[in-house]
Amino acid sequence: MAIAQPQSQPHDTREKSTPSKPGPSKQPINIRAIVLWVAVVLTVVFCLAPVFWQLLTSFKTNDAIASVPTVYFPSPDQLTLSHYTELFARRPFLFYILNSTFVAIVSTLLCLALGAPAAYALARLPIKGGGILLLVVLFVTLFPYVLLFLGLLEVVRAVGLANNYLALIVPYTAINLPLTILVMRSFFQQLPKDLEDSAKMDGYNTLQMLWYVLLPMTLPALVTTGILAFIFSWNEFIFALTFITRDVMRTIPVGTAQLGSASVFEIPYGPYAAATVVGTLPLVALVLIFQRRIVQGLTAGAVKG
Amino acid sequence: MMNLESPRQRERVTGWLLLVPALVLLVAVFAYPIGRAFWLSLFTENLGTQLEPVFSGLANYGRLIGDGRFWQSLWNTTVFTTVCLALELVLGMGIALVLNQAFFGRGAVRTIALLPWALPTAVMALAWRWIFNDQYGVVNDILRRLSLIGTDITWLGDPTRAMMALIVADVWKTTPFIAVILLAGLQSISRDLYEAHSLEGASPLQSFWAITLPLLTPQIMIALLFRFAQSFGIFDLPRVMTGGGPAGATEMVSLYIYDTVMRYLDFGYGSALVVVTFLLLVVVVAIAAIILTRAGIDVAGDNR
Amino acid sequence: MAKLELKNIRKTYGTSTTVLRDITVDVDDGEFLTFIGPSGCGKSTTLRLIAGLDQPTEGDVAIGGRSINHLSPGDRNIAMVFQSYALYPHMTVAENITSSLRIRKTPPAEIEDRMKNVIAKLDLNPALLDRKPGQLSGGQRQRVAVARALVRNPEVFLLDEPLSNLDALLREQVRAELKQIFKTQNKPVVYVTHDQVEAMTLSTRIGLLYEGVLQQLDTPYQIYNHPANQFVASFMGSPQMNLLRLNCQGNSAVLGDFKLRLPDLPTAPPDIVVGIRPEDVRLATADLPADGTQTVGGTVFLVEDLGKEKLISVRVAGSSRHTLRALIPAEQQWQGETVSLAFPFEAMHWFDVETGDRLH
Repeated sequence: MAIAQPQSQPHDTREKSTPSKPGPSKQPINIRAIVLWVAVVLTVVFCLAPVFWQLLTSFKTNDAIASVPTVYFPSPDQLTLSHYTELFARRPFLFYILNSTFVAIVSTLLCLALGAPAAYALARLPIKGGGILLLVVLFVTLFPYVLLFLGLLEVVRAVGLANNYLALIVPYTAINLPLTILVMRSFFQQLPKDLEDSAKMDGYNTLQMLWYVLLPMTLPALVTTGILAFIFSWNEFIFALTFITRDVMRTIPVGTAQLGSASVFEIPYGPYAAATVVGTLPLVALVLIFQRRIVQGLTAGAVKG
Repeated sequence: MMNLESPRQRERVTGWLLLVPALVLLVAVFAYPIGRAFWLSLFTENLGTQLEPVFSGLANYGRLIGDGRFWQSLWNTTVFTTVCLALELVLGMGIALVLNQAFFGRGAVRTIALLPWALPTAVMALAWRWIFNDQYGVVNDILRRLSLIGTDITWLGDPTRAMMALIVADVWKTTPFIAVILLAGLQSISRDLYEAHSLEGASPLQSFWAITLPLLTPQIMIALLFRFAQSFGIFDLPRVMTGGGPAGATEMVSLYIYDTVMRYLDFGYGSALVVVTFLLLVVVVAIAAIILTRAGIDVAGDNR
Repeated sequence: MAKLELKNIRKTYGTSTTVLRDITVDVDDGEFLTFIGPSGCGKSTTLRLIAGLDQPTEGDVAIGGRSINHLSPGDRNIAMVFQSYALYPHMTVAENITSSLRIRKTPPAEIEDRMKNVIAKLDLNPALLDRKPGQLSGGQRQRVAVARALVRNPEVFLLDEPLSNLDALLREQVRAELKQIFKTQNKPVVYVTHDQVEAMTLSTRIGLLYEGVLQQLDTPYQIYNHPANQFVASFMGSPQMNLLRLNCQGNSAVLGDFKLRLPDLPTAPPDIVVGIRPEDVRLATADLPADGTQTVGGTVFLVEDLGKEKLISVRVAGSSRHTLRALIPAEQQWQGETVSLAFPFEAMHWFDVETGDRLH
């Protein structure tokens, strides 16, 4: 399970110092190091360039944005915060953020509350057909949501949930359940069985054991799956687009994508960029803090063993 | 009746009690809509019938066979999926190999490499629309500065180039996922194997073909399977970036389904489209599952 | 009065794997019964069946004459010390010790009382109570695990190799402590180990399990001195007992150039297995009484120095396939390669060739 290794290893210093060795060295390690560093730089540029471009655009004045050739290093008078102020002043962007946060947090918690016990049952309890259930759960993770929205739309309308947070919370909980079950199950399986036996002998019933003994021990796993569920809920688009039509109830992805329709600019790229920055900021923070956990969860959900 | 006397029976009952809430939700959100689509696809329910379902047998499927727009969207989806997966696999492998090396700041680079995956596709689609903008887009500006083009290129307004732009955006967004999966695989390969192989006189490239690739097959297959499913149902990226245009050149099956239902209010035909897409997905997953089982890969991770 | 009884216990997995066949054992209050055997013999399964963590396929587990088969582990009032100690890593030592009392809603004052009692009894440092198990040494963890069992004041104690995770030095000390502690409990104690010294030193009785069958259930003395069969004889005792398959002629068994006097048997078999413990074999010297002593000559081909003693391996004269090992005092010397070995008649154990059962 140890996926990410400590950054600072003894190797690092050796590899780092190699290219700066003085004199013409014919050792292949030098070429290797150069290739490696070129690859590293390319990787970083590839991953960051679009994000930085949005960041830059979001601070440029409309004139600077629309200037040809493109301005890469704007002068102070080409910089502005107006796109951000416009975002919050003229658009209910604050609502988008609050909506996304609320829906994502509630569905994540619900997902953990439902998924963790189910994962435990599949990991440890004598469930007939548990193996088949697991395969079904695995298959379900592959479903594109576009196959679901039609049937769900009918239900949402029939139950009168249109423009209700529940119309998002319920599907979001469900779409994150398969991954939660898979990841949590693999964590439960890694716990020493003695602890459960010991708890049974101490007189805990299964639910007490889950609550008092196992869940506290799987807290790291809960955090991991919780982060993944949060990210997926925050980013979901098609349900949010279909089930929520009131502007103030929209989530970040839909709200941002539909900014243009009501903007005073013909091409509101400044506000777009500002919205991109604000809407992705929480996720950037999550990735920065929890990179290892995310990687762990992704790999545990997809490939085990 | 169940015998509640035995502790094992009690455990069994508890197990089902723990499972049922999750299962109910999964059935409601996954199984019901699919089942409903199968049922509804046998009816005509559109503006022509005042949105009342009228049984029409397989008429929707008959219509589908002659529906050029459907086949066009299926073709678009296939091209998009194929090219994306190929590029992502190569790039993802490259990034994974880089991230598997020891170098200063590796942790930071790994974090950066994960970033695109975590950002909302719909939002980043806007960013890419801006990047590929005809007049002010940074892509055209760079190409101009490199003197590769004289005049601005129309990206999103040109059928082929719009598809290319879409592919670039998707590759950017999802390569990290493949890289993460492959990196986990790389880290599980013992260093001893490479050392033994190099003692036998093998070059790093030979080692890659002889050791890395074969041992990485499970991860490659699984990453491709996940990515196939996502890519085949891609919705937010083309919807926001190109809207399916120009002239339907980037209209994916998912966009067509969505328009059929939400714009033309043709629920019966939309259901038939859902059913066909679902069955296509099932066929591919089944084939992949067979290949995976043959290769002895335990996807569910039952045995560690 | 809470006698633990296992009655005709059978345990099978699926249709093919039988782990335990027809185990019947009684353990009285104050008795210390140890199950010993090679791995896979079913000793841990037996413990788990008593605990209720597994269900027997057939047979009954009873405490005080009442079957507890239908009771879940928590309702059996049995405490168990696990090999891994199974301490809850997120709870403090105090929480670990009292967890079973708290889940049973014991009044806090009583919990406090009982914990203090146990801590005193085990000589546990009260400063450790607020630590997490991860901050304890192996020995301290083991003590906490024992405390957790004692505090419950259960009807039966189960211990699953509780010493195997301690280093050798500590093990001996803790072993002695365990013996003292459980002596005062006056409850049935069932102990599982693969270590024969533990079994010998701790137990009032030993049950030797092999392939799911109880080979012998007896006191350590009987197990050692009167092994019920060839397996028990070979399993208990270190260095291992010499076991030789011999032909019989009249009322003697032929060992190379020598004849061993057979015990009184109803009928003399054509072949027989003799067992002689290496520690019963001496170098024959002039002052040995000729009466009641068997002597065998041979060639020394291996000497293993154990410090206190020497273990010598001797190829018996006149036989190509029979060797005898003898444990002799370290300072004892001999001349040349051939030696004469002596052992008393009573030191010979006789077993049936087919069944392995003891013959006398």
